[in-house]
Parts: sequence; structure tokens; C-alpha cells
Amino acid sequence: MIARRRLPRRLIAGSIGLLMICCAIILGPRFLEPGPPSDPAHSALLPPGTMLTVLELDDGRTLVSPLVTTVGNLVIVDGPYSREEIPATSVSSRRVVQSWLGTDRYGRDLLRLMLLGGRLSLMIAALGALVSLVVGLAIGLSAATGGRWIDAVLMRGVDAMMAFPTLLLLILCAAVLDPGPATLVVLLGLTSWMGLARLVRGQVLSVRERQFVMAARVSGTPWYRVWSWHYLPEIRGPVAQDVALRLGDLVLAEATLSYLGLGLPPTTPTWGLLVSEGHRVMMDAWWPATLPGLAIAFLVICFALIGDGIQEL
Amino acid sequence: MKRKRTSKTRKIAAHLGAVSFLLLAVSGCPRLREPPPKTLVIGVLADIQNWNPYLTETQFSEDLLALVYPSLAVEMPDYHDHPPAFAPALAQSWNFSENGLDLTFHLRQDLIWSDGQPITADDVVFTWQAQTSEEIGWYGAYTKDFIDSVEKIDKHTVRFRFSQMYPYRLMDANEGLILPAHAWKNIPFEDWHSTPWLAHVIGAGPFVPVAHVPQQDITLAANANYRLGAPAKISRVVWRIVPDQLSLMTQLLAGELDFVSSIAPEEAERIEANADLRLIDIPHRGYTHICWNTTLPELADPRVRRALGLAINRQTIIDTVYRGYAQPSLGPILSTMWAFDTNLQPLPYDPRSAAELLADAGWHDNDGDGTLEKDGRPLALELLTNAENHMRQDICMLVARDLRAIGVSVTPRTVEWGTFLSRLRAGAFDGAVNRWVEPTQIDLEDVWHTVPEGIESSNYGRYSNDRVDGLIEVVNDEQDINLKKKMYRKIQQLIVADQPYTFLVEGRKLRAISTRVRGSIQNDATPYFNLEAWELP
Amino acid sequence: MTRIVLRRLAVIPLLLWVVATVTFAVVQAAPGTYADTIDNPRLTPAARLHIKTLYGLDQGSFDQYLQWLGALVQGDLGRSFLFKQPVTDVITTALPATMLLAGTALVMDLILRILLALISARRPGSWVDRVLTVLSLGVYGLPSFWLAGLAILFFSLKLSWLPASHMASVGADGWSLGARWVDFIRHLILPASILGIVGAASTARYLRASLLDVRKSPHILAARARGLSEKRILWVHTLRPALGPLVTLIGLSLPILVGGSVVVETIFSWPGMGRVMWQAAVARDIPVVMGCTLIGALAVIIGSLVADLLYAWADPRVRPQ
Repeated sequence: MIARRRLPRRLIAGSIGLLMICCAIILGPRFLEPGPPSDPAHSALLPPGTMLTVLELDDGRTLVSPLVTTVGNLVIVDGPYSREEIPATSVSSRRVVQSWLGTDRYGRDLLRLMLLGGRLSLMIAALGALVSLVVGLAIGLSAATGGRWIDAVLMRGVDAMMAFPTLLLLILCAAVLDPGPATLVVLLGLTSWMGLARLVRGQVLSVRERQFVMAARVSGTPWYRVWSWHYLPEIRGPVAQDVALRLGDLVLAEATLSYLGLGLPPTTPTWGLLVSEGHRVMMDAWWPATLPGLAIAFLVICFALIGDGIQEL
Repeated sequence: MKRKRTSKTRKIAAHLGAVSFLLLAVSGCPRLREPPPKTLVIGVLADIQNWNPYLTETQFSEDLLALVYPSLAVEMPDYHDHPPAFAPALAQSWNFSENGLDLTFHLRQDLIWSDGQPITADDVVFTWQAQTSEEIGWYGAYTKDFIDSVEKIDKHTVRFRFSQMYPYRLMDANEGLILPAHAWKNIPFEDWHSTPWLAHVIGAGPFVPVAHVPQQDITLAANANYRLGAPAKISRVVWRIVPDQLSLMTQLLAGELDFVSSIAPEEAERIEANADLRLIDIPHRGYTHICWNTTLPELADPRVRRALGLAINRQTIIDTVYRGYAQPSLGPILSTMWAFDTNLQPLPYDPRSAAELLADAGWHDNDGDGTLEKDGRPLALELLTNAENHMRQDICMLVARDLRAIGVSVTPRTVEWGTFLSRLRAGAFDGAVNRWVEPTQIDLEDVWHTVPEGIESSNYGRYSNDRVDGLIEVVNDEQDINLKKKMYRKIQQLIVADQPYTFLVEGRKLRAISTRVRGSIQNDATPYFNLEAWELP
Repeated sequence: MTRIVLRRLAVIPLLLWVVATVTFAVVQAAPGTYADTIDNPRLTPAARLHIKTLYGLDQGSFDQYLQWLGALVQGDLGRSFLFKQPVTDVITTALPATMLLAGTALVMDLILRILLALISARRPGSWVDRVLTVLSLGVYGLPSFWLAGLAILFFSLKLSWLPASHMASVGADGWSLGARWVDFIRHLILPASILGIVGAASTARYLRASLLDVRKSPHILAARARGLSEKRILWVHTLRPALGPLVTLIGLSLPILVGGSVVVETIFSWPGMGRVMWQAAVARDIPVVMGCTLIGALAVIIGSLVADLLYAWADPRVRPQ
């Protein structure tokens, strides 16, 4: 009887965590009631759990504030830096919303930002890892199977790529190209495939020398069969692990790039951008930096656990 | 079994012991020793570039070197009230000749360099040679273009001869710090770029450099041979270079720094709450604005530009971005300057009028998507600013929000500083949030005069108004101050009516100083204005 | 083997030339020159143009490239626009600072990693193991600039235990040698810890996995059967075989020893190569950018060669026939 292998606990834990995040990101915005528009004058940097009053006025403006009082026929709207008095007749509608995670420096609801931003963060990391995977696999496999010269040339190419000052290139490329998600994906992908290429090359090289593989090669088995039957199963594990870890690294790399000002423009929030923006107000408010930061850490932990779990398989 | 447990407990105890010992060792006093008495510590973001004033380009280098080297005259800090005037420094008096082309300076006879040698006319002549030398290539050499010669008349008299009459003769002659000829004339000009200048510094200012650890600390000590005024009261001043703003603030609040001249408005509250620090709030010679590219068809119509200005809530910007430390900017001349037109009215926050103006100009939302169109083209603008400045990014966001409310689709875009400037110069932008820091001498030509195609200038938006051009061309030569004021008023009215910029705010300059420092006078001329008079207990 | 090493060494000049040329091209393609990036409101457009000409930035890109290359083969790396010093001086000042910081961080990383892995591997699956794993991954998952900022706020502002920046305190040049050393170490602790702890936190679990693999092997069983103490088994028989991959770390760390970390060096005002490179890139200081690129590239190439050699020595299967 073949003993059933139990899935490693790490893999399960990591996958569950990742699944939770994905569910939250994909389904969350749908279940959130339409959040209040941002009103930086009155609702910036409010702590988690604040109840906000949303006032819509006749002239089209919307005011959002935690403290709205009515005195006589005047409505007084209080904010951290300013205070406005409006005739009660010009208020066309009024409702109360809960800000679960607080607001950032622009008065935007942090929960909403994190759910929207998570999508972008994950997508950038995933696509970047995909680019890295494709390029790394191609180069690694070619180097291992192409003979000595191709191996030498490609590996020196890998050396050259690694020798490039990545940060410098990122600064200059961010200056030359459009600072958009596509550029970021390409830059992140193209600066992180080298490790995978070396890994793949090493694994395939060590498999090639095994007796039955040599036998297969010598006996004229077509290359694609050799690749799919012998090489791919061997590298599947380490590659999957590398990709899982790469995903975590890319999320962190995006955060550092945003901190240095090389990331996306401030209107499209990613978790990294949220942390770097929150970092500026860290002395006044802990939540704009800490909550997205913990989210990133959680995501990285999940990816790492999945990666480790794959290795234990 | 028992043995295992005891050894385990012992191990844990040993580890805990080691850790607590480490913690105790580290947690000693915050500073091993107090800094030496009578030392002032100033926190700055960048280092000095070079100890030779004609080889540097940064503002901080110039501010620092002004404490070391003398100049003929010093500009008085009351440039807000009248065009710049000068007080004697190295020169005790000066006079123009009959025809106005000769300017003779009479130097003080009692002044010496920090090595004891007297300051003479030779130093002034030598300085002029260095300023105009091509091998040295000082960027400010253009200020000496109209000076034909600088001659020594006698040991303490120097004559500048100009090639023509123009209003800035004194300013141009005075431009630049005076160098010690006796020490430096032996170094050929072509070697100046590769000479390590710290070893050669001989100054006549209140301070002299004693140490410079690159990218870390600059130490100046009081100059014992300072004769231009009372000797410096503080014997040692150290500039600590801290490139990260958060670190700078932390050290300031922890009491490790006595003075920081670059405080962001969001940190002001924290400084005021700190009993050991005092917040200094002074008018600043800068105004933040949105420069519109008037060559774009959408922005060529002044009604559209005015509408954009009406739809932006300046007060929100002042309250949230500047935390109240700003006033609205009304026009091209700062509201604190003598030439400012006090009749100028601020553009009110009136989104309704803005919408009406846009409708008048032909912009309507025909397809109900929330954005206005005209002839099939949507009113979609990209608002550019640079990534390093967080306040400008915040302004971008607020402006985008305000303009979206009236149907103008605005996309904020941040780019890196070098890219920002080159896009501005190339005219590759729709709108750009930028700030001008005005010189003490009002000069509107660079920014507001029409610029022919292909010439680079500071008129990024390619604004063009013939009447403004004409007035700018004659106002500088006008001697009568009242006529000058009248002309400036007219220029301001014309520009404000055209709205090539949306003038946003004039932010105030915030500095923080420790309460233990006494005697400092703070103004916008330089952060170290009367550093020699500052006192520590 | 020697032939292969020599062949790889021979290729280095070519690699450096490729890296340098591409970097030069990218720097030239980036908009703006040094003259444009100077933050001085007194500079008029004419003045900026003058500065541009002074530094030869108004010439064509190819001409500038040839000039730079020509100077390079004569051993002259040029003069920095931003720091007003020869590039070699800039590098020789910044490189030791980075090596000190990164070297200390590397040592802390190794020690911490071994400790963490050992503690985890002693009792795999226990709550200690799980908590340590999650904790270290959490530390790794928090962005480093945020950790650094938090560390400064906590240890410097709140507790006043450690200085917030720099390599020495104000006025330290007047102190005795011993006091200066202690002062320097206190300044080194925070930045080196951030780098070292994050490094260890991210990779301790690999060492743990290696240790667990080794523990399952037969010769550990034999050692236990022989009656050796648990401690000896752990330190001598388990740890040593698993140290192999750790050694390759040294080769792979050469780039960081030379290149530094921009974020940590900027936040802690540590005058190292990372910070210099960043300032130079932002200011378009071409000579410094090119000089740092060359040094960094050299470090990466040699580091990877060393790492490959160590890997081949450890795993004979990978050696080319």
C-alpha cells in the first residue's frame, strides 16, 4: 500500500493565508458600502474606528468629518485643521459611515485603499515574477543543455546582468520611461531573473549526469521528452519555491521603490506606496504605515510558507 | 533526565544574563560625554561642495562661505520695503563718478585676514580676476560682464570701471566674496579645480573652518582676527549632515541639534509642543503655483485658465498642506514686496462661476461621463510635479480633486527632479506645480517676457503679452520709485487678468531653534544671518 | 579547474566594458544634466547653461563617452561634479564606510542565522520553532525603511539608548581612542542590526531545513547510538555539514559589501557607497555613477566567481567535465 503523503503544514498554512488575502482583495470592495469621498480638510489622519459623518451640500461639495454639530440653524463641521460653518438648509443629505482602519493624510479611508491597493500590489508582484520566471527558465535551460560555449556565453551574460547597478538603472529608467505599472513590472522582472537562471542551470546540470538521463539522451529520445520527463520534474520543486519567494521579494522591492520615489504615481495606491506615504506621518499617526506594512509582512509570510512547503513535498 | 533539565535551566539563565548585560552596557547615558561647552550644533540636509566660493553651485555652500569670507558690502535684509540697499562691510564707503561709469570703494584700513595679513585693494583686484577667469569658470561671471576693469588706486582704494550705465552697477560690483590674494595668487587658475581648498582657507568673517569630515560634519570656530564686528560669542559651531528628514526631526526633538532651518509644516505642531524648542515662522521669498502650458489649445483661452483658478480651493491647501503657515499668492510679485499691488483681489473659491466660465468657453459634458468636452476632445490635463517634494504632490492631489468636481479630468503625475526640469524646459507638460524663489531684486523678464521659439528660458508656459513685454523692458531703467511702482502694478494687473499661472500660495519658512540659544535674528536672507551674535548659556 | 577560472577572469574586462557602455548610454538617455539638477534659486538659465558647458555636458553623448573611456584607460576616473573631488577620492572615502557597515551586518547575519536555525532545528514543530519562524518572516516582510524609521523613533527618540545617525558623536574627535571606539560601535549598532537582522530573518529557515536534513541522516543516528551528548551532536555533527551553503554566502555578499544599501545609509546618514551612488544618480553626476558602476560590477563578477567555485567544490556534480 502506498502511504499517503500528508501535505506539509507550512504549505497549508501559507496557502490558506494567501487565499484569505485574495478573497479579501477580490470580494472586499464589492461588499464595502460606497466609501466617502476624501475630504482632506476635515477627515485627514483619523484613527481606526472613527465614525464619519458625510454631508452632501447643494453646491455639489461633499464634506466628511468626524465631528459635526448642529447649533441653531448652522451646521458646524470640525476637522483637525479647520472648521466650517454651513447653513443647515444647504445640506442635501447626511449619513454616517464607519472608518474601520482610519484615514490617511488625504482623508481617504484606509481599508478601502488597502483592498484596492492589494490588487495592484499582487498583480505587479505576480506579473514581475512571471517575467522573471520565463526569462530565468529560458536562459537557465539553454545554458545547461546548449553545450559549453552557449553555457559560457549565457552565464557571462547573467554575470553582466547581475553586475548592472540595479538601483541606478531603476532610477534612470524611471526617469526615461513612463512610471506606470507596466514599466514597474518589466523592471522588477528583468532585474530578478538571474538567481533563477543559475538555479535552473545548476539543477539541470546535476540531472544530466545521472545514468538514466544520459542513457535517454544517448538513445535518441527527442529533446522535448527529455525535458519534460527528466528535467522539468527535477527543477519543478526548486523553481516553484524560488517563484514563491520571489513574489514576496517583489512586493518588498515595490515598497522600497515607492519610498525612493520611483514607484507608481500617488493616485494608484499599492501597499508599498501606502507604507511609504504613511512613513512620512509616522510620528503623528501609526496606522497609515503600520497596517499596510503588516499586510505586506503577512503576504510575504504566506509566500514564504508556501515556498518552504513546496520544498518539503 | 534531571541533569538535562538543570543544564537547560542553566543555559537559559546564562542566555538571559548575557542579554541583560548587553542591554545594560548599551543603555548607558544617551551621550557618553556632553558636547564641549559653547558648541552649537546645526542640522542640515546636504554637505558643502567646496571651500572655494567660486567653485561651488549650491545655496548651502554659499550661505556657509559667507560666514568665512568677507564682501565689500552686505545687502540689507529689508528688501521687502524697497529695492535692495547695501550696508558697508569691507568697504566703509563708496561713490560713483560724475558720469556714473566709475565706482570707487574705500576699504577699511584696520581689517585683517585670519592669518594676520591686512586686507588690501590687491585682494579685490585678485578676486575680480578669479571671478572672470575662464579656467575657473564661475557661473556668476555674467554679473561682471559690464565691468571693464578693476584697478587699485592705492592700498585701500579700488575703482571699478563700467562699460555702460545701468541700474545694477553696485550690485554687480559687489557680487561675490573677496579672496585672500597674498595666499592664493600663487596657485594658477587652471589648478583651482583640483586643489583641496580646505587647507588654503583664509577668511575674514566671524568664523573659520577647523574640520570637515565629508558627508558627516563641518566644524567652524570663532575667528580670533575678526574685526568687522564683535567677535563671535559661540566658540564652535558644528553642522551635522543628516540627509533623511525623519532622522533630522528625531535628532532635533531628542535635543541633539540646536537649529534646523528646513522644517516642514506638518512638523510645526510637534516643535511647538516641545518645551526645549522654539518655532520660527518668517515670510519666504517663494510662491507655489501651477504653470499652465498656454500653447495647448485647451489652455490657450484665458477664460479656461481663470475657471481652473476659480475651482481650486486655496484655503484647503493652506490648511491641510501648509497647516496654516502660508498665505494666498495673488500674482507674480510677492505680497510682502514693496512693488506689490495692494489692490489685487484674490481669486475666490467659486466652482459655480468656474463651471459657467467653462461653459461660456464652449466646454460641455455632452455624454454625461463627468468630463467636459469641446469639439469631441475631453478636457483632460496631466498635472506634473517632482517626486522629491511631498508638499507639491499633496497639492497635486488636492487640485485634481477640486478640478474633477467641475468636470476637468486631471491626472497627477510625479517625475524625478531632473526629468521634471527638462520636461518644463521642453514644454512637454499640460500643467506643472512648481515654486519660484524670487531674488531680492525684482526681475520679471526671465519668467514673463515673450520668448521666441527655440530659446530656453524660465517662461515654461510660453506666456506672451505685448503690453507686459513693453513694460518689463522699461521698468528696470526707471529711476523714479513711484513710476516704477506704477509700472509694476500695471504688469501685475495684466498678468493676473491673463492667469497664465494659477497662483496658489506663498508658503512661510519654518525653522526650529533650541530655547537655549539667545540673540538670533531670523530672516529670509540666510539662516545664519547674525550667527556671530548668537549666544549659548 | 584553473583553466576555467582563468578563462572567466579573462572575460572580466569585456564584461566591465559592456556594463559600462550600457550604463553610460542609460545615463545619457535620462533627461536632464547635472546643471539642471542643482537646487539653487539664484541660478539663472544662462548660468545653468554655463555650468553645463564647463563640465563638457553640452557635447554629444558619443564624444563624452570617448572622452570618458580615454581617461579611463589612462587610469583616470574623472572628477565628480557634485562632490568636487576626484572620483577615486569619493570612492576611497565611501567604500571603507560601506564595508564596515556591511561587514558587521554580515557577521551579525551569520551569527543570528546560525542561532535561529539551531534553536528551531532542535525541536522541529514545537511552538518555539513555529513562533520563531513566523516572527522572523514577519521581520523580513516589513519594509526595511519602515523598520529603520521605527528603530530610530524607539531607540533614539524614546529610549535615548542609541544615536540616530552618523558614525561619531559631535566633538568625538577630542576624545580618547577607547572612548571613540565605544562611540563608533554605538553608532554602528542600529544600522548594522537592521541589515543583519533582516538578512538573518529571511534565510534562517534554509539553514534550519539543511540542519533537519542532516539530522535525519544515518551518521547522526550512529553518533547518538555511540552515546555522544546532544550538544556535541548538534554543534559538531549537525552544524558543520550544513555550513557548506553558508560559505557561498560570502561570495554572494561581495556586491553588498561594495554597493551598500541606499535606504539604510540614507536614513542613518552613513557616508557609504549606496548613498553616494543614489546622490550621484539623482544629480546626474556621470563620473561618479560610472566609477561606482565599475567597482560594483567588478565586485559582482568576482563575487559570483567565488560563489561558483565554492559551490562546485561542495557539489562535485556541478563541476564541468
